[in-house]
Amino acid sequence: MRIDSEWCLSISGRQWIARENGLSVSGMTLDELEANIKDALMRSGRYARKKTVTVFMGVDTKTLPAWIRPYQSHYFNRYIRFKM
Amino acid sequence: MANDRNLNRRWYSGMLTTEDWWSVWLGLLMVALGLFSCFGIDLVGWIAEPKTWMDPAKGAVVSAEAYKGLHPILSIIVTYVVFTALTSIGAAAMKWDVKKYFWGFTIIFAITWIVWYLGHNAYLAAMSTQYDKFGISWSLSMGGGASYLLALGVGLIIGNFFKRFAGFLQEAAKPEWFIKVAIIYLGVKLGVKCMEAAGFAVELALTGAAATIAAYLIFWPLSYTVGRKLFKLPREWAAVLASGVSICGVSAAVATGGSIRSRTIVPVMTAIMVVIFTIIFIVALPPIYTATLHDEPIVAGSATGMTVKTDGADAATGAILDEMMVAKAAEQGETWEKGWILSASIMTKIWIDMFIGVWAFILAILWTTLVEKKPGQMKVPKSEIWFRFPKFVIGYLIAWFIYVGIATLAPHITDMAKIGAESVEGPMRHLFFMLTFVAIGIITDFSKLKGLGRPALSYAVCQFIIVPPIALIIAYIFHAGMMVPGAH
Repeated sequence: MRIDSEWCLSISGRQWIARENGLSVSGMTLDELEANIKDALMRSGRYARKKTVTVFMGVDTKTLPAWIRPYQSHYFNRYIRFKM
Repeated sequence: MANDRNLNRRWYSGMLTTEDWWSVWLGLLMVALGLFSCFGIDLVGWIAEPKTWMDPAKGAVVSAEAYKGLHPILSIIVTYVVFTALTSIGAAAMKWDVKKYFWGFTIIFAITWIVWYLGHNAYLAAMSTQYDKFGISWSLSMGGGASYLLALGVGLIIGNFFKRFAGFLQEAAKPEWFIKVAIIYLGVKLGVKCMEAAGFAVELALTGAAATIAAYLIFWPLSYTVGRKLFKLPREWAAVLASGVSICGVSAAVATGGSIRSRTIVPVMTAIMVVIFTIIFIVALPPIYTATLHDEPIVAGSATGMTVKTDGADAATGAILDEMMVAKAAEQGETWEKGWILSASIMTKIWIDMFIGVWAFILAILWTTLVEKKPGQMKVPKSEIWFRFPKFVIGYLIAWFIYVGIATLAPHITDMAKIGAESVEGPMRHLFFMLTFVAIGIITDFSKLKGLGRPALSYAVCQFIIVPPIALIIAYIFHAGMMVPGAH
């Protein structure tokens, strides 16, 4: 699958945070976060209008507490696609 | 593109940075060294192990004939150097604080060997048939189980009464890492046992798989319903708790938390409950099953695997149960080979571990297509199953099949192969079990349960009232009548 934009997810308290090459957005919910990612990508001017963009989001494994990582070091990866 | 290397992006992500993979490397390294005995070179027989003793000087023996000239104290030092070096390399690769790890492991290793040795005192470990041999008139007759309980007790005292010290040791107190290495060594044992009882091992594996699937299709919906209806928990709490209590503890809770995109606080709090509640089973389940299931040892082992959460705690409970049931058989004049009851509990747990990835994948699909359907959300990638697959199982299966392969393809070197295998699946595995017991105790802090309220109650109801009887019934359905091979 061709990925246009790859974001690293982390969780700070109750907020989701996503980072990608100089861009950083946050949201109280994943829906809010994804809407903010879409806004940030539109504002960045990297993609042409009406282009379909595939976004990969992977949770930074270091956001899990160190003691819990041995049990399961993967949280989730997520793909979304939207039109600019 | 983001270049964060902490993302699980490729299939090989984490091979040098996760404990799961490092258990495979450490496990298979010793398995490989053990195989040199096929060529007449013993590279693993230097390890020492305690034996039941009255004379303190005779409390430890070196594993293999080739190293009998080695003093046991020197053997313990070699063991310490080898495993400190290997695990420190792993710690460095995983970017831990290596200095802290080194000192922590050194102290844990010392505690482990002291309690391992003390636990083999004849008054604690000797069977009644050995009274004359040791010149005693009574004993608790606990076999190796005394060492395990002592190790757990010492760990718990440190973890709950010397918290600053426990904090210092935590960099090296890694029960899941230690037990995964031990389970790979157990794969060697199963391989060797297959040479003698292949049919039984296959039957154990197949019935274990069937029992696991049957159990979890019952446990999960029941636990979820109890959380939602009885304790009015939100969906994310009910789902994560249901996986934690019904599948395999912490791993399943984290996997489920990820699948349903819950905040990480939910699986983290669930994990705290899992870790603490399992301690009760480690202490309570072996004497209960030993007293009530003497005629069904494999049922007892399998039920343990389905009841006790986390690999470390399950292996710990299985190991104590194995020791206690074998000791009870000995008291009654029967000879049971050690390891089969433990294998039954581990086999069940391994199926469960493999099931976690599949279940998390199914749950993720259900959540994104039915519960929280969103426009733009794409299919759940199948790679999620692989990322959640317990990699140590690969090491366990490789170790197992290597010895099955030797027995099948090169039977003339079987006896030579057993020389190396005995040191790996014997003293080395026991050492890592002991390290696990001490480490479990150190990381278990009962005061963390404070303030968890309804989720803790929901977890407790499921863990103590729903899971054990169903596990026992299902274990009975699939394993009834299976006796430890070679029992006489």
